[in-house]
Amino acid sequence: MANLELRNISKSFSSKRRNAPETVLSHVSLVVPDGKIFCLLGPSGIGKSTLLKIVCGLLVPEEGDVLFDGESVLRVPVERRGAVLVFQDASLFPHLTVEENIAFGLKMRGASRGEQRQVAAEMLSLVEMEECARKLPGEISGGQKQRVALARALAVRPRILLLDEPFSSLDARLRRSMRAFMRALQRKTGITTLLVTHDWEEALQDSDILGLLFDGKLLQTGAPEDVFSNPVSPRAADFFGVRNYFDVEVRDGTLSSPFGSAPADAPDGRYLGMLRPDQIALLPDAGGAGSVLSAEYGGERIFYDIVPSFSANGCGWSRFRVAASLEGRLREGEKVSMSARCDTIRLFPAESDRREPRETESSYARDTQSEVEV
Amino acid sequence: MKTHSPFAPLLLFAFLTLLLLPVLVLLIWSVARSWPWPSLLPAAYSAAEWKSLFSASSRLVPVLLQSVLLAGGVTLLSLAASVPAAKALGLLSFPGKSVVEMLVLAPVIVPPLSYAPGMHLLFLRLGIADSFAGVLLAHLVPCLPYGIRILTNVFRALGDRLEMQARVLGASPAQAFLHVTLPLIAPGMASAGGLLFIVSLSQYLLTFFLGGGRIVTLSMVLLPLVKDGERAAAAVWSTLFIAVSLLFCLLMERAAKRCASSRDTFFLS
Repeated sequence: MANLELRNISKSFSSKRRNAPETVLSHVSLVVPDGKIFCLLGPSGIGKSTLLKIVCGLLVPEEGDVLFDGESVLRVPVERRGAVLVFQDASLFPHLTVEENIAFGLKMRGASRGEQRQVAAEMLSLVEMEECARKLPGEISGGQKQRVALARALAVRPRILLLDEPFSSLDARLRRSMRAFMRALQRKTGITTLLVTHDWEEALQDSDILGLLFDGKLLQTGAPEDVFSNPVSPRAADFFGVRNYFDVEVRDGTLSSPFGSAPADAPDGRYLGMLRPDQIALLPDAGGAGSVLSAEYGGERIFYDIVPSFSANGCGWSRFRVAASLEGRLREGEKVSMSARCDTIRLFPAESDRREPRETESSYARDTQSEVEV
Repeated sequence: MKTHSPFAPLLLFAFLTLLLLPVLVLLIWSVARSWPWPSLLPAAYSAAEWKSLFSASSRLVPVLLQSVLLAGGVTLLSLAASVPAAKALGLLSFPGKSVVEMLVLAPVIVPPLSYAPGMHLLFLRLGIADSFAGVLLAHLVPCLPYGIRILTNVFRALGDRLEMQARVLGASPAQAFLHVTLPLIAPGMASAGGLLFIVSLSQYLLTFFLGGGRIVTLSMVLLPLVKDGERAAAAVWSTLFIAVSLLFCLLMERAAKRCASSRDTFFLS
């Protein structure tokens, strides 16, 4: 159990394809208070996994420091740091039984056979896998493997638990139950956890603190509700799939937008306004400002792509994504009017960058080369 | 193979026949006194060569001992050297890696005759010429390429993820190697070991040049017999050669299985 702090972590890799080294992490700083779950959200790529490897000691940062309870652990070798990393594919030792896998860390520490057995039994019951104690990893399912991996990590009573997209290889239903399981386990054991994922819905649900990592930089951290409702930039909002932008002008404390006017606490000038899909209401209206381009059925809601007759000057956004209930389903081509509470419009500087989050190159290509520097 | 096509067992039978037929011919030659062409079977039989092999004055014991000790020693030494080299080549990337990979294969391309005399001169200067240690060292040259190549692929397939996982769980590099890596590369080492043994056992030129006649292995006995047309004697010693190789391969398999805790070979989840 420990407080984790990362200070100004920077890391770059030399790439064979490019001559210049590629910066993967750039001055990343964050704090995970004792016993909390910090979720690092970011697009698929290597930055997130690299950060986890730096925390547990498999990689060394070029700049910056890693502190457990205020003490730097950069000089502490991997095996003594006490930060355990659970990989996406569980990485169970194929030649050992489930029980032996769980007891592995203890065996390395020189624990007696009796102690190994006892702790393994404890962990097995914690993850509800008692009947599989003697089985080999090849004989159990993906979800079971993840449970064993968690048990194996917890058996050594780590100071920090690091989870690298631990459930992304599972099917949706299993993923939900494993996430709930993990949350319950974390609450019960109170282990400081740093979890990395590319799924924003999971990040919102599972975290005590949420961090947005993009292009090697930490854009924003905070409580999930804060980060979701008050993104610090359009790129941060992009993490949650928000892409509704339009021109806003502020004059004398009032903003005017295609949705109407409202008091605004911002200096005079041109701004980029943003609304989330759930903040816009649609009504069928023959003289309306928009028309339905397509409808995406989402089970509990429908997402409409609306083409507005106004467009933000120069930003090229020609579509609005609006979430609506199933009642009063709209048809393609139907004209609609869009309305919103203008005091909920989020303002960003007019020149803000609203590019799509860049998909970094496949992490698979990197994983096949060893990145370990121990 | 759901439908039992008539071809499958036929193919297997043909394959086995092709493999075992020469051995059968060899065995017949070993007890043949006279086998002129075009007879299908020998005209006259004699167990004289076998008797001579197991007689008190035979060279069997010293030759066998030297061959097995030499080839066995070369195998173990090659494996010990190949593992760290293969790990580096299979898992790391560093400048000049492709050059190293090419150089590793060089002994396979360059014939022993071209470097044996030079090596002998060097060994004379070092004082290990005509000695067991010298021949052992010399045999490493043709053997290491095979050992390194096979184990490089083994490491590449294994990856380093499991060793990393062991490290974060508290294993030192030595512990991670002993408890995780070694059991998982054991089957690969057994395969490599079997091959290395045979490569060493088959060496003639190197043993001849660097052993100076003091190191007499199975190959050293065999080649003159073949050259002189002593068919039956050659057949007897060849059978011995095959038997020793097979036995060693079986032993390596057994050892690897025990090392990997008798689990399924090469499991990658």
